[in-house]
Amino acid sequence: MLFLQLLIDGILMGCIYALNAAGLSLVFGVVGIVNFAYSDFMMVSMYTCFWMFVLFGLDPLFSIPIAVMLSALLGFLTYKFVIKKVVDAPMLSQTLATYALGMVIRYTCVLFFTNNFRYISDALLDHSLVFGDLIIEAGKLAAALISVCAFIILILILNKTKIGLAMRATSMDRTAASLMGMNSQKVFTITFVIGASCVAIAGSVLMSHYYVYPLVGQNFGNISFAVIALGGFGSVPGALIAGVIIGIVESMAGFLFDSAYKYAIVFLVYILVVIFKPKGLKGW
Amino acid sequence: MKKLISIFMCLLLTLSCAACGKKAEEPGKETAAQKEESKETVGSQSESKQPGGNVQEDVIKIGVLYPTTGSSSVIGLTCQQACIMAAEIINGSYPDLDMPLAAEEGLPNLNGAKIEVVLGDTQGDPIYGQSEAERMITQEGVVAIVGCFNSSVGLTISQICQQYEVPFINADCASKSLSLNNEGYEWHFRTGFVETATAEGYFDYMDALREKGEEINTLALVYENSEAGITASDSQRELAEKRGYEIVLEVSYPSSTTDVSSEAKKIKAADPDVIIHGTYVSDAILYTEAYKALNYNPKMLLACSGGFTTPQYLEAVNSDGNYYSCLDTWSISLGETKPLVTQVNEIYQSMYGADKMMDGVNARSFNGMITICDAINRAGSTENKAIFDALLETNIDAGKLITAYGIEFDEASHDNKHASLLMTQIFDGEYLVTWPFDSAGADYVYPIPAWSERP
Repeated sequence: MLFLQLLIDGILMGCIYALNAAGLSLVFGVVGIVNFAYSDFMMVSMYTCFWMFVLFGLDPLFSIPIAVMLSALLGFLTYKFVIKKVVDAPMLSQTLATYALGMVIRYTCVLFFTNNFRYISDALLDHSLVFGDLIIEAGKLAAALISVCAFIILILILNKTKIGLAMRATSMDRTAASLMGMNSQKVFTITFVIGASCVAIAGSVLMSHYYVYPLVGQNFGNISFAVIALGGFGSVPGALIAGVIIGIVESMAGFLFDSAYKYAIVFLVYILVVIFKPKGLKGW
Repeated sequence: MKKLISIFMCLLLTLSCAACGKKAEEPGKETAAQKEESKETVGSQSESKQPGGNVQEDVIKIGVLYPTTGSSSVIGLTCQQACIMAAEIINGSYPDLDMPLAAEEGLPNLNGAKIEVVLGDTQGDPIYGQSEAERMITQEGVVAIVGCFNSSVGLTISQICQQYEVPFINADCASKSLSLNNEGYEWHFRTGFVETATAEGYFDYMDALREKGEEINTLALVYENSEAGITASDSQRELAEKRGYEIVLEVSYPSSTTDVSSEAKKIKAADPDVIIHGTYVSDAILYTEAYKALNYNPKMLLACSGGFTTPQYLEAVNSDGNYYSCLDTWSISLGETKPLVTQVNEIYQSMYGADKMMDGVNARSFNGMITICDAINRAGSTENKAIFDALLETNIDAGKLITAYGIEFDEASHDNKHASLLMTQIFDGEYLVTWPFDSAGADYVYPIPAWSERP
C-alpha cells in the first residue's frame, strides 16, 4: 500500500511538473528559444490566484481563466517586445534577454508584493480523500486532473487544428513552412501565448497547496528543464511522460533514500535515459 | 554589427574577469599593496581619533548585513528593520526605555556621535556576504558589521572581518563552527545563542516534561541540509544519546524542495513522539500542510528560530500552526514582567506597521546593534582595537535588553555566556512562553490534539 501511495503521489505531482514544462518545451521546439523567464510567468499566475482569493474570495481553481488570460497577455507582450527582437540573434543574446526579463518580472513582484510567503490555507480542496490506508490530497488530485485535461487540449490543438499544424511544421523547418505560406511571426506569437497559458494553469493549480513568493519559480525551474530534456526538446507528449517519471522518482527517492539526494537521483535517471536516448524519450 | 557586438562582449568579459579576479582572491592571500590599502582605509578611522577618546566624526557607520533578497529575505528584512530601529533609538532620546544608550541622543562618550546604518544584502549566499562585507569595510568605512542570519554566510563575513580586523557582531547565526575556539575568528562576537544551546534547550524541556510524567521516548530529526541544519543535528544527536532518547528517523532535505510529501510520509511511518524541526519559513509551511494532509501530528513538534517562529509562518498557515512549540529568545509575553519588551515592540510597530510584531530573530538583531554601539561608546573611540577590547568587557544585564538574557562574551569562544532560550507554544496566533515553568505565560499542551479535535 505504501508503494501505491508513493506512486500515486508521484504521478499527481508529475502531472503538474509536466504541464509546467510543456509550454517551455513547445516554445523551444517551435521558436527555438529557451525562455528563462518561463518560471516567472508561473509565479505571476500564482500571485494572480492569490490576490483573487484575498480580494474577491475566489478559490484558485476558479481563478484559472483569469490567470490564463493574464499570462497569455504577458506571453504576447513578451514575444512582441522582447523575443521578436532576438529570435534570429545569437543564442547568447536570446538567453540574456529572457534571463533579464525574468529578473525584471521577479523583482517587480518583490517591489509590489514584498518577499513574504503567501499561502492560501483554506482553499476549497484543502482536505484529503481517504481510502483505507491510502490518502490522496484533494488539491493535488484536482491539480493533476486539470493538468491532464490541459495536456489533452494542447495535444488536440497541435494535432487537429491548422495552427497546430503550422506550429509543428515551423518547428520542423521554419524556412520551408514560410515558403508554404505560414506566417512564422504569427506562429511564434501564438506559441508563446499557448506556452504562457500552460504555465499559468500549472501555477494556478499549485496555488491550492503551495506558497508563492517572488522567487518561487526558481524552485520549479530546474525541474522544468530536466523534464523537457528527459522528454525531448520540443516534444509535448514527451514532457508529459518525463514529468510523470520525474514525479515518481522524486516521490520514491524522497522516501526510500535520504531526501537530500532525491534531486540527485532525479537527474541521475535523466542521465541514464539520455545515454540510451540522447534526444530524450520522444525527442527528434 | 555582429563584429561590434563581439568586440563589446569581449570587452565586457575582460572587465568582468578583471573585477572577479580581485574578488576571487581568498582572504588572507591579499597582496602586500592590498594589505597596505586596507589598513589605510581602516586606519583612517583611527587617524581621525584624538587622544582621550574624542573623535572628529559625528557619524559612525555600522554595516548591517542580512539577506534581503532570496529565500531568507522575509526574515532578513525584519532583522534589518530591527537594526535600523536600534540606531533610531540610540540617535534619538527615549528616556522611558530602560536600556543602554536610549536616554541621550547619540553616543555620549563620543560627543553625541550618531549611528549611521549601512545596509547590505547577502542574498543568503556566502559569496555575496563576503563581497558585501569587504565593500562595507573598504569603501563605506564601517567600524563594525552586524548580521547575518545564515551561518554559512557568517563564516565568510567572519573571514573578511578577521582579515581587516573589524568586529563582526554575529547577532543570529547559531552554528558553533563560528566560535573562536572552533574556526578561530577572533573578531567574531556572538550575541545570540549557539546551536548547542538550542539542542540543550530542547532536551532540557523534554526532560522537564518527563519529570512531569509525560511519555517521551522517540525522536525524529528533520532539518534542512545547510550549515545551520547539519550542525544543529550533530548536537541533537549527541544529546539524544546522552539523555536516553531514541532517534527513530533523520530527514535531511534541501530547503528549496518543491514537495515534502515523501518526507512527511516517512516521518508518519516512523511515528516519533517528538519531531525536532530545523527549517526555514518556506519548508515550515510545506511541512505543516503535509502533516495536515496526512492527518498526522507527532505528540510534540519542537522548532527553532527561523522557520516556525516567524510571524510570516503564522500569516501563511494561520491556525494550522497551533500547538507547535518553538525555542526562542523573545516572546511578547516577556513584556508582562519587563515593560521594555512591549515598549520596543510598540516602536517597531510605529515604524513598520501596527500589524507587525517583533520575533526572536530580529530581537537578536536588535541586541546585536545595541551591543556594538554600547562597546563603541565605552571605548570612546572608533579605533578597531579599542572597540575589540570594549567588546570583551561587555556586560549588559538581561533587564536592560528585550531578550530573556544578558550579554557577556566568553573570552575563549567570544560567544555570549548568558544566551538562553525560552520554549513557546503557538496558541491562536501567539507564541506564549510555556517553559521555564516559572516564567510561563501559558500551560503547555502535550500531546498535540488531533486535527479533527481542533476548533
